[in-house]
Amino acid sequence: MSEDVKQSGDEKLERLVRAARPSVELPPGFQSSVWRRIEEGQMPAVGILERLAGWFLTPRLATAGLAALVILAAGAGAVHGMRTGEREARDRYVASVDPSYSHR
Amino acid sequence: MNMSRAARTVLLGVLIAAVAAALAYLCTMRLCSRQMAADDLSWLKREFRLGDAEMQRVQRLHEGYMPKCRDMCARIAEKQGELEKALEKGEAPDAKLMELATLRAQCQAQMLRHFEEVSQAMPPEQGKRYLIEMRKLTLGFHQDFERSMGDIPASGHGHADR
Repeated sequence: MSEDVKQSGDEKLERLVRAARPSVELPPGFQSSVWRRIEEGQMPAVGILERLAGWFLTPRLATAGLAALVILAAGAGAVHGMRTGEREARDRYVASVDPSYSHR
Repeated sequence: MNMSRAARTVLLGVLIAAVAAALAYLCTMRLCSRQMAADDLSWLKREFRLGDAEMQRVQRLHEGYMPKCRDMCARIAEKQGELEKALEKGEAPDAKLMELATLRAQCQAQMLRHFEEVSQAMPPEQGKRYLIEMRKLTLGFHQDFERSMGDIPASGHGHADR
């Protein structure tokens, strides 16, 4: 008798629990997004130095950056050299026809 | 000092980049500068846009002028020596000074004649520009200097009455 009562009580409770639990569908990609957030939380924060070091250690990036820098520097050197050379060439000519010019 | 591995990498990278950039800058600067001032007449050719025929004429005139210029320089140096000796002996330097000034004037006159000849070997507009530029660069210095002497206040070395 008491067994019957207990069994019917469990079934009632089970029905009640099932009714209380919402049966909502999980959004797509829910699991992977949860894992991603966990991984991000575990990764240490990357500072500017680490990021820069990472670029320097990436051969493709390092080579391209160095090449761009060298080309820019060579361009600036050429412009400066042409200006200096123009003045030197003028002084050289004037000094060749007027030797006192080089002593000024 | 304890430096992190990342900081060491960045420092080394920056150092390599700076050295490479500096080398590239200096090399191209030297190369271009040397190329521009390759010889005595390279400036004339570029500045006054001279063709090959004009350049040959200018070159001939330049080569003809150089021995005369050297000769004049030697005569001025010799006269300068004579003046110094006269001063050491305690002689009156007036005559030597006059001779030296005459030589310098002859040298300048010869130089101006050369400029005239070179300007005539160029296209008219460029020749005119050359003449103005050369007079400014050679005689202009003396003129500026002499003009500045007039600006010195009477308390100084100037001769201007103010």
